[in-house]
Amino acid sequence: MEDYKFLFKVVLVGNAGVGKTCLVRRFTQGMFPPGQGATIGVDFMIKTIEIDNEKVKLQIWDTAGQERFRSITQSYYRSAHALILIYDITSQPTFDCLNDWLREIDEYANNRVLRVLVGNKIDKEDREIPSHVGQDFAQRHDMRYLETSAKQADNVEKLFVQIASELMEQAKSKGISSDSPQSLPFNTRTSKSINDYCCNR
Amino acid sequence: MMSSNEDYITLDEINNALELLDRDEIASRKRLATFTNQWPTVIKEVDSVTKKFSTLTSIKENLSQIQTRIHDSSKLAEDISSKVRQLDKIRGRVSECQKRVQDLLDLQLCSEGVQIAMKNDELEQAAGHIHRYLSIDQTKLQRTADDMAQDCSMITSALKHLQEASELLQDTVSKRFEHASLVQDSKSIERYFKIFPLLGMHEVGLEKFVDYLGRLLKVSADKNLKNVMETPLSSNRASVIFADGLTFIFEEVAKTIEVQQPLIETHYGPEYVLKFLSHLQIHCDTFGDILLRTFLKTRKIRELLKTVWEESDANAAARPDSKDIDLLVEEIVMILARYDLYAQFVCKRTVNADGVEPKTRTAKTVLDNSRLCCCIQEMMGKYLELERYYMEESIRKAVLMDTIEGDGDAALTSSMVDDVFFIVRKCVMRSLRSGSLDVLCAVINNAVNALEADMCAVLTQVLSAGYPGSGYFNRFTPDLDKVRRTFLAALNSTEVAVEYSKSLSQAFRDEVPARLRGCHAEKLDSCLHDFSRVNASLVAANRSGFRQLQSSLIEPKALAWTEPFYEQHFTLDETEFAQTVADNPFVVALVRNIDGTLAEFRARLTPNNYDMLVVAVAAETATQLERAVMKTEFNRLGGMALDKVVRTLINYFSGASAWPVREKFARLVQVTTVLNLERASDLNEFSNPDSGMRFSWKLTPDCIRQILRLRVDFREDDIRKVQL
Repeated sequence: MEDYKFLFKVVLVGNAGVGKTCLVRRFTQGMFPPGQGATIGVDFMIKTIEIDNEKVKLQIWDTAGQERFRSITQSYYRSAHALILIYDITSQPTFDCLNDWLREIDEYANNRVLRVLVGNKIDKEDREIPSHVGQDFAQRHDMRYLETSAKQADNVEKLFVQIASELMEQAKSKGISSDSPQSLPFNTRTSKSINDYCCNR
Repeated sequence: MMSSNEDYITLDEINNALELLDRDEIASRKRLATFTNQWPTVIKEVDSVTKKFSTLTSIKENLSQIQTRIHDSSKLAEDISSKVRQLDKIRGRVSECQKRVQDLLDLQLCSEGVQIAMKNDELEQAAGHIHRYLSIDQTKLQRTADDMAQDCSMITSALKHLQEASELLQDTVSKRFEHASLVQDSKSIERYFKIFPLLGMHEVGLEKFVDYLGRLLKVSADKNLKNVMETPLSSNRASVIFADGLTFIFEEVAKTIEVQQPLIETHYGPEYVLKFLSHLQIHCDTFGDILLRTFLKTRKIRELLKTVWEESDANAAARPDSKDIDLLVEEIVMILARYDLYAQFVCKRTVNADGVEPKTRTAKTVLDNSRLCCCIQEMMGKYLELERYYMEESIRKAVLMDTIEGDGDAALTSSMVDDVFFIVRKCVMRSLRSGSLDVLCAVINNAVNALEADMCAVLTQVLSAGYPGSGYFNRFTPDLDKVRRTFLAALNSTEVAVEYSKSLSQAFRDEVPARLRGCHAEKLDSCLHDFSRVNASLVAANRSGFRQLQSSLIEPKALAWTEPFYEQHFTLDETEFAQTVADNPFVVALVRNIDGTLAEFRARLTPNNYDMLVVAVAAETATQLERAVMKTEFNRLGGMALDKVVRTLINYFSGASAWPVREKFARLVQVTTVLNLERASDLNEFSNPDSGMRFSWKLTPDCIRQILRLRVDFREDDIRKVQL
């Protein structure tokens, strides 16, 4: 048996180029890959961290932001314990798309999934979305909020550690093994293609 | 030694002194003799030393001579070496000069040769001259020409000629190539194609050549498209004609690469292969794009995808048939597989080019960034949507057409579970053919979601609806037996489905890595792990089914079976006891009732479910019996009679189930034990650590006292005295 007590799946989504891969690389490998090409399909990374002396294994799914990979991305929502929705604080369009992403999350994800909104690239000076706007948006949609810089490693560790500890608390309070997300009332899927309303391409 | 003369007083003393002196004298003589003997040798040695002195002077002279000579020689050597150095330099210059002269001569020759060759239209020769000219260091050549401008205008003019000729030749070859490519004169094309690199026109040549190849490919691609469009629906390839068409394009491009790559490597150099591939890929992109777009249009994929997720069930008839979708999905997955094959081929070609790994990465980059790849990725998305629709629709059908199988000896099972897992396996294995792990993983995710949302949900629904018992109201339930069969089949299905789900995920874990190139095992594993979600929800459904059985079947039955217990009395005399032991109608009836009920289920349930039922019946019977016992009065013989009843029951249940049931009777056995005591005080033995009896009570002290009070022959005082 592998040496961990909790296993969580974390899925990152958001428009192309907001820095999903960089965030994951920063967290899992401690580096900022310059000139990162667009992710193809889904990347998969594992990192085991220790919280309160307990080993927590995070399986991180780094999805492609481009529209044509949406079908692949969608299939991961349901098994996710946590969803990280990312936008770029220097790009209004990536913020404007958040509603589309939320619609998709509501449609496919487990309704008790932990949702975190992340404004990335705070190292940049040409900010377009003020902090409080992101904060408000997150509050309105019942999400955690954090601003990060994958480049300068600001809040990256914190983001994942917070997610892991919150999921651990959840799992402990439910007294359910983290291995199997408990079966939920099966909400009937209403599956309409999101292709029609997302601006990102 | 001796003292002064005045000291010699006696003769003896004098004699003694004399003697001493004599001895001294003798010794001195001896020494003198030795010295005398040595003298000649000393003289000799002094002579020889004197002689040697004279030679030393000459050695010194010699040495100083040698020194001067060495000094002179070194000076000479230095002179010589510097001269040699100078000579070397000069020789270098001379040879360079010779080379330049040779170059100049060549230049002259080239210049003349080019003019002649051009005049005679011998392009290869002209190009050969130009190539020679181009291989000469151009800057030095120019300097030479400048240096010699005053003396010899010939060189300058030759240079001018050559430059002009080179330009002319470039122009001519380009034009002729264009012309040849227009009239598709493949011989001339090859001829001019080989001339370009001689003129230093690698890039231009490659571009023009690929343009030409592209035009050739376009002809066959157009013909191919026409064929595809004109294929009659009756053709046996009609359902995969677009995949066939794409295959044809890929084959043509691959053939072109295979034929031209050696030419490129020979005439242009291996470093141009990648450039060649990326130029050619642009053409391939175009053909692929056109074909795939026609595919989407002809097969009405966009419209299909819109109707597929129509929500209104009223429109169910208008929804595409899963069989049609099945065919379409087959074709798309074939398209994906062909692209995968093509991509493998292209990447492999560049490895062969020089066997260096980074090259592959760049060839892969060329492909990954190609328009074709983008189209294919979009196609993957469409495939996934359609595959998901097919899977969910087929599962829906399987649920609708569910029939319960198994009569007589076989356990009741539902055809739905078999069908559902067959569909899931089919879809996942199909996605494996796409050659993409991402596609495979997405289909696995969708399969898990569908199993959970569709199959598990249906089973949960049936099982939580409950098992209609034999109560008064259920007598009027129509199709009572059918409802019961459905319930039991669902109960069995949950168990079977867990098995299926486990073995299916294991099968994928075993089979996929062998059949998928570059399979990321952990990624696959993480997706397959989600099958545990399905298992958990099946187990939960099974539990809820047993809870239903418990409340509507087991509890009422056990209550009814134990009812006659109240009619018995357990304050027996010897005669009554003997009779009861010989024939206890209560226990006979109880076992018969239980056996009758279990027999009804034995054939209808899977072994595990049946065992689970036996255990549940045993537990409930024990509970109900205990409840009855607690309302009955006993004497010693009555307690013994009860012990007999309990033993009979335990024996029966142990034989009925493969699972241990004895523990379900543990409490009842303890109750019986208490009721069987000779005296109430015997209980003290149980709590005495020295008694050697290890006994862990499942009964509370209060409970034990209560049981003791059931014995009519125990006095309250004694009971109170018992230490517990």
